[in-house]
Amino acid sequence: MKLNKEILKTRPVFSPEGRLDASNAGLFKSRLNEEITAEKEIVIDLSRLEFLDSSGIGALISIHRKCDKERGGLKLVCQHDRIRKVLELTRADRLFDIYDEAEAAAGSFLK
Amino acid sequence: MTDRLFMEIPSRLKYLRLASNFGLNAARSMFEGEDSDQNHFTESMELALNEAVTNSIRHRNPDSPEASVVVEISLSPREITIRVKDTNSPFDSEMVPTPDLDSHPENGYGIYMIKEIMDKVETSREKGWNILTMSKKLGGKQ
Repeated sequence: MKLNKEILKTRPVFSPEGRLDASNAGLFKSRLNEEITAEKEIVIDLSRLEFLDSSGIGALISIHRKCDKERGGLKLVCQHDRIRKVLELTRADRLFDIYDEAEAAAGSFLK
Repeated sequence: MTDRLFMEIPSRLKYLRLASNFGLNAARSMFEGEDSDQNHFTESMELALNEAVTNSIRHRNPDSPEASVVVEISLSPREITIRVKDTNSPFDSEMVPTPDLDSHPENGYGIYMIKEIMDKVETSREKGWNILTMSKKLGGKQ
């Protein structure tokens, strides 16, 4: 899995690309947790993901908890039905603030 | 007529994608030559198989580095049946608690997701093999 990073409205936006599954969810979580020590408010854009499983969901929930603990925030971007369905199936959609566009997600921290 | 497909992978996460794609492509072959878009069905089979194989690999006996996971898929015109077999300690899907979804746990979703996706899920133990059998009919629950 490739993990892209860009800055939008002064907030880092991380975009995992490919599959986020049991084979790489641990590494993804570690890399994001390292970033959270420097950046408290982050966006994870799931638009480039082809596949998300329950291990990926677990990683996102863990990152969300870490952001909360650091008094920061995590916003998700999700455009694809198949990824959103996994969020809904696990009810993780009720935990996250989910946006259609990365710019709107990053901008929401400024309000 | 029922077509049977077979795959065996080493019980390691680096091969998870292979098994997952096997489920996706097997399900897609049910619709070859048809115009209808069955992405929801085929992607659900990919996810269910991915979760089942992940469980098998995660619960591999650490003393059995050479262990493998076997996937058998039976395709009939209106139904897919997937069997995932491993030689781990005995496992019964009915004994796996449903996760407390409202407390958003970080793990424990796999079997729950399989049961939500598939029409029928059963586990059995035969000659030292755990066998998770799951099936779904076209037009079954969404």
